Amino acid sequence: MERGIGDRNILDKFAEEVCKIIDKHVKYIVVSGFVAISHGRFRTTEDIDMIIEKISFEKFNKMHFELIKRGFECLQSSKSEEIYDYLDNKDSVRYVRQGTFLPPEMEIKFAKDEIDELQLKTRKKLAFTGLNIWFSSIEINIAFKEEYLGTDKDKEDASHLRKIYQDEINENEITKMKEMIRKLRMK
Amino acid sequence: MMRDKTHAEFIERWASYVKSVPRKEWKSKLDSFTNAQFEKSLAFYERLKKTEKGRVVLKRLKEERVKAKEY
Repeated sequence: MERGIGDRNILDKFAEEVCKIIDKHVKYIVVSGFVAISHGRFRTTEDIDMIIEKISFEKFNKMHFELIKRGFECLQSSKSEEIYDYLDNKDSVRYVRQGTFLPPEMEIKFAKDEIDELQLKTRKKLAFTGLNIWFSSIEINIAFKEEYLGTDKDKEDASHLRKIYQDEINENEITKMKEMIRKLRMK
Repeated sequence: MMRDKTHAEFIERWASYVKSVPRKEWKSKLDSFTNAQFEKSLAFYERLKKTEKGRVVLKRLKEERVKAKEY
């Protein structure tokens, strides 16, 4: 598979810089739109969705301060205690480059149930993207987009991913994931 | 159901193209598109900064973005 490092756009650079920092502190995955975009889907996004393992405040504090040191800031607060409270209360928090409130932004949330834990456990680096980023599996992304998110944009993302991986996709895995989503997220 | 038939056809056609050409070919097209969107948006916000009314709008936009989202 061809990989490239000289072909990073604004979104790629932002994503790789943030992921490199996060990776030192906690297990993470990038999910949803950026997965499709990294596979060539012809659209862009303002926010990159990331799920991280639920960690203690002490661990989060270290990660937060490294993000600050490396030129990022959290839109919700500058106080790590407050940011941690957002995460702990199942709210997402958003990091952007310092000095701007503008996209791109990394939208971070804690893993909240066994689906998220499974996504983290089965995370993958996807050669097709050429990016050094951990993603949730293609099957899980398709299942979420078709079964749970369901907007036109999500369905189109799923359709694109199905085309890219048409000979490799595990349909049983997608079906199993959809059942899990219905059971845990749509009750 | 997707937006319309021709839109669905575009998704299919573009995905086939991505699959069939070397990465650098589709990536350069996507990169130009992505960078242009961010650059255009940034230029707009820079223009807003130059007027009083624009600065009020910017402040409002910032307040909106800071709101946390429940998931």
